[in-house]
Formats: sequence, C-alpha cells, structure tokens
Amino acid sequence: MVLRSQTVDEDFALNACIENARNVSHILKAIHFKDTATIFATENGLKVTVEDSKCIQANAFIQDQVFQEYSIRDEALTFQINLDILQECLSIFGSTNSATSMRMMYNGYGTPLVLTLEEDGAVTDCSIKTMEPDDILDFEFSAANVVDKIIMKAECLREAFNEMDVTSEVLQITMSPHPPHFRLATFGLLGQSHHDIPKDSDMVEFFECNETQSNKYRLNLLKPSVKAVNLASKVCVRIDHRGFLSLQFMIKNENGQICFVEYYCCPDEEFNEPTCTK
Amino acid sequence: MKPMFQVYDVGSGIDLTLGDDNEAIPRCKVAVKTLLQVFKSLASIERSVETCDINLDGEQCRLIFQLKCKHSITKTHHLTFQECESLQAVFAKDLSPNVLTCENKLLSDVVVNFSSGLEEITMNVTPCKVVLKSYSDDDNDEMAQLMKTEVSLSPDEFSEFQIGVDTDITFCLKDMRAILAFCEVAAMPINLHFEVGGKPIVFSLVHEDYFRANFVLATIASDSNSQHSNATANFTTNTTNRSQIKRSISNSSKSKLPKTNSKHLRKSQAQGHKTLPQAKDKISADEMDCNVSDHKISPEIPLQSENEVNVTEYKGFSSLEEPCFKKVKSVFFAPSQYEQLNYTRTVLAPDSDSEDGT
Repeated sequence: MVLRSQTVDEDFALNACIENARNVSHILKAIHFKDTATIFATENGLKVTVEDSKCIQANAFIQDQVFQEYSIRDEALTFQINLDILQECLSIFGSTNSATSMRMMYNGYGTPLVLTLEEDGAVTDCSIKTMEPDDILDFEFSAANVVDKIIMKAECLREAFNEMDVTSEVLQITMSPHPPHFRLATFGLLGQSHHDIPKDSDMVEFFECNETQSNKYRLNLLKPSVKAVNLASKVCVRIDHRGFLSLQFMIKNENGQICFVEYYCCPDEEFNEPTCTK
Repeated sequence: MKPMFQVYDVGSGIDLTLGDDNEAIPRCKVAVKTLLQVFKSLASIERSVETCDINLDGEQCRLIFQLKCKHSITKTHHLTFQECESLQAVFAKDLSPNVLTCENKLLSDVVVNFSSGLEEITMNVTPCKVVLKSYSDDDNDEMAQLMKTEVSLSPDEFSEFQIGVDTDITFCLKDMRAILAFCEVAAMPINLHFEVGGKPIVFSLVHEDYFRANFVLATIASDSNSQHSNATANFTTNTTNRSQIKRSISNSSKSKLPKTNSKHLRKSQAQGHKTLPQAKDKISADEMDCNVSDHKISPEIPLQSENEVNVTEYKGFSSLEEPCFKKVKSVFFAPSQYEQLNYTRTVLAPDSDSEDGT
C-alpha cells in the first residue's frame, strides 16, 4: 500500500481525520452486534447502522465535530462495510495508552474505505472493501408520536440490564403516570422479577407519561443494547403510540465529546390476539 | 442470639414454641438457582440495597423478595416454590465422641490438594493425628486408581481435638468444599462432630450474633470399605528420599504380610486381576528396599479390616519416627505398560502356600 500524501486528499469524496481512533471504535462498540454495518456520511458527520431480524436497529452518530478534519464532497454517501474488520483495523495497534491517529478516505461508489492509522511513528494502511448498501428499515419513529419518555442516569438501567433474568423470553416495559412509574419486568423460569424506578428518584432527570403503556420486547433482541448501556452516561427511553421502543444513549468519548447511539425495537406481538386484517 | 431480622412475622396461629413437628409451619422448597438469581450481583447489592423484605404469599404461591435500593429503586422477585416435607436428619451432635474444631483455612488448604474430580474423601482419626485421603469405590475409574492423595494433620492444628473413637469416615468431598466456601465467607471456625462410618458427620458453625449452621453429611458405613480398597496396589514415593521406592506387590510380598492381610489379598486376586496394576516389570533387587523385612508392609493397599484401624501406619517409611505434620503424600501409581500385566511375573519371594502356583 502506498502512503497517501496530504496533497492527494482533496480528491476524495469523504476525507476525515481524527487524532484518537478510540473515539470512533468506542462508539462503534456500542452497536457491534452484527458483522456488517451501513455507513451514511453527510456533512453533519457519520451515521453507522446495524440491524437484526428486521426488528431491531442500532444507530451510532459521530458528528463532524468529533473529527479534527472532516470534508465531504457529495451530499451523502452510503456504503455497507464489514464492521468486524473495521473495528479490528481501528484497534490494530492494540490497546495502548498512546493515541492512534486515523485518516479515513472514501472515494465514492465501488471504492474501498481506506484507513491510515499512525501511532508513535508506526503507520498502517488498511483498505476495506465496501458493499452495496441494503435497505435500511425506517421505524417511522417521530418525536411527535412519543407517548412516554424518561431520561435517567445510565447506572440504574445498567444494573437492571445486567441482572436481568436471561431465561425470560421477553422484557416488559411499563410506563405509567401512577406508581410504579417505570417498570422492567421479566418472566423467566425462575419466576417473575420487577425492577421499578419511580419518577421522583434522583436518578431520573425527566419523566413524561400521559397514559399507561405496557409493551413486551424480545429479550434476545434487546441484549445488544446492554453494550450501549455499559458505555453510556445517560439513557433516554421513549415509547410511541404503537409501542415501538427507542433507547437513546449518550456516550462520552475520551475527549469528553458526546456521541449518541440509538436503538429501535418493535414490540412483541401476542399471537393469540385476534389481528384485524384490512 | 441476636435476631438476624428486623421484622419477623410468621402470622398469627403459629406457635413457634411447638418445635419442628408443628404442622402449621409452612414448609416449602425453592430451587437454589432461583434464589441465587435474586442475589446475583453481590457487589451491587452491597452498594445499593437498603432493605430486603421476604414474604411468603400462600395464595399466589410465590416467595417474594423485595429489595429496596438507593435512589428509591425497588427490585421485586416473585419466586415459585414447592411445598415439601422437610427431611430430618437423625443425629445427636452433642453426643458425638469425636469433635474437631479448626479454622476453615486449615481444611481449605488441605482439600485444595485433592483432585477436583474426586468425589469422596476419607478421614482417618486417631488421638495422634488426622489423615485425610482420597477415596474411590469405583473399580473402573482409572483416574482414581492412578493417583491417591493423603494429607496428615497433627492435633496441634486444631483448636479443639477430642477423639473418643478411632475411626475412618468417608463422606462427599464436593459437599465439604461447598461448606468450606461458606465458612470462608462467614469467617468462622468450623466444628466437626462425628462418630464412625455410617453415622452422619456434622459440620457446624456458629456465628454468635446471627446464625447457627449445621451441615449434616451422610458417611459410608465402614464395612463396605473393605471390599473396595482391596483391588488396588500402589507404590509410594517418600518425598524426602527418592531412592527408596517401595513397591508393594501383592504376590511377592505376601510372605511378609501378617496373616490377616494375606487373606484379603488372596480374596482380591480371586476376584480378578483387572484392577491390579502392578509395575513388576522393572523390579530389581536393588530397587527393593532392603529394609522391607524390618517393617510390616502393610499395605499401601488400604485395607479396612476390623483388625486394622490405622491402615496407614506408614511403617514402610524410614522416617516414621518424625511426627507427620501436615505432610502431603501424593501416592502415584501408574502401570508403565498395561499389556505386560498378563505376562508371567517374576516372583522374588514366593509364598510357600501360594494358590496360584507362580
């Protein structure tokens, strides 16, 4: 691989440079539950999306301000990439105290994503094949349709998620204007467990709930969000009128900058309920 | 004893003074895994739990644990349970003739020397010492035949050492490991109360302020020991002097054995040679310890006849005169070539009334 010199950079469709590659790999860890991801690059930054089973979607937003240099030629660039390989390249120098600087270059459709990583004088060039992007689910989750919303410190949700009964197939989230205001319930072989967080707890920063809603979500789909909870400092849980769940995690990187990771999950339908067909 | 609970209410109508036979006391059992789920993360419990309420809801058939934590967070677990009859172990701990008390670290350090797959352990007690050794009753278990471990402890190691009856007692090692793990957490000394094989052994633990724990383990009755241990022959290596490798081979040393032992040996040979791994092929006069004739070669074959309570007199060791302070004697035995077992053995000192004619 030829080391690309500075002067050639302006030709690339996407050219971004960051002083600490860990700021990127750290965020990607929060959504790394499948091996492929779709990357959307816009002038505002990068959005990395991972999906599973057409039921759950995770998005990581890395704003342009996180990068020391960020330039994009076109309106938007989209490509699919192997996330395992990308993460491996980003941490190619191993986990050391010194920062690895990274330059990311992409020249449009069909070209590979080129990474140049440098640490203490050692330089690595990586060229990762990009793929045709698959269609991404649109959960049609809009802020206007949000019925229940709670913002809390991540620690309390972290405990709840990590202690969750894994023999339970579903996680039931109940939000209500009456106590218990926010309840996570599991129904496993061991019995039923509830984790209740009242709205007046000092871990809760914001609570808005107009009607009582109780929805079940497949626990194995939500499992990957545990990674995000472990890295986050704050979590925002929102449920819309259809029962769709949105978990937004605020993650601070090493420089203190904030990035967001979002999980969308659709509720588990009860099969014994009669469905209306149009 | 101080109360462990801040509130303890068993409901009206139950007279606790009636004792364990009281039918009105609800009895139920809960799967241990279920219960452990409640206390899954000990670190977070210590950090955040303020109170724990335990309720038995007979109508809903649930055992409810409600943990009230910091920041007003509440965790509730509704566990299913089954009604049951409680087992009553018949034992009189206070009447046990043998009582040992020691720090749990002593026994923990001892059991660490035994292989993790070992199921049972035998404790041999005399007023002079306590010997713990590995036990195997499965003739087909080759691993158990390959290595046997023994540890001797002197009475000084125990804070209380009362031996009324010399005995060999065999019980489950896995259970003992679990008990010792509990003692480590409780940081209390452990008491052993026992009598003879066949009667239960009780490991007890008293935390003055809060609880008393009695772990009652069944033991193997002593008369069944003799059938199982005949089959093995082994040689020991004295850890201080490697040149004195003593091989007690049942055929050749028969003449030197006291009568009672040889009877047992013949019986074992009649039963079959399948588990008599004997490394005879490498024997030479040099290797045989010349001190053999001076000592009773008792069996490194751990016979448990009534005549011999102290099987492991270790008279074969020249360093017998020293008291054995917590010496680990790992007894290793392995046939160098299994096929040669069927070959004609060179018998160095044939028994005059030998039955098998070799």
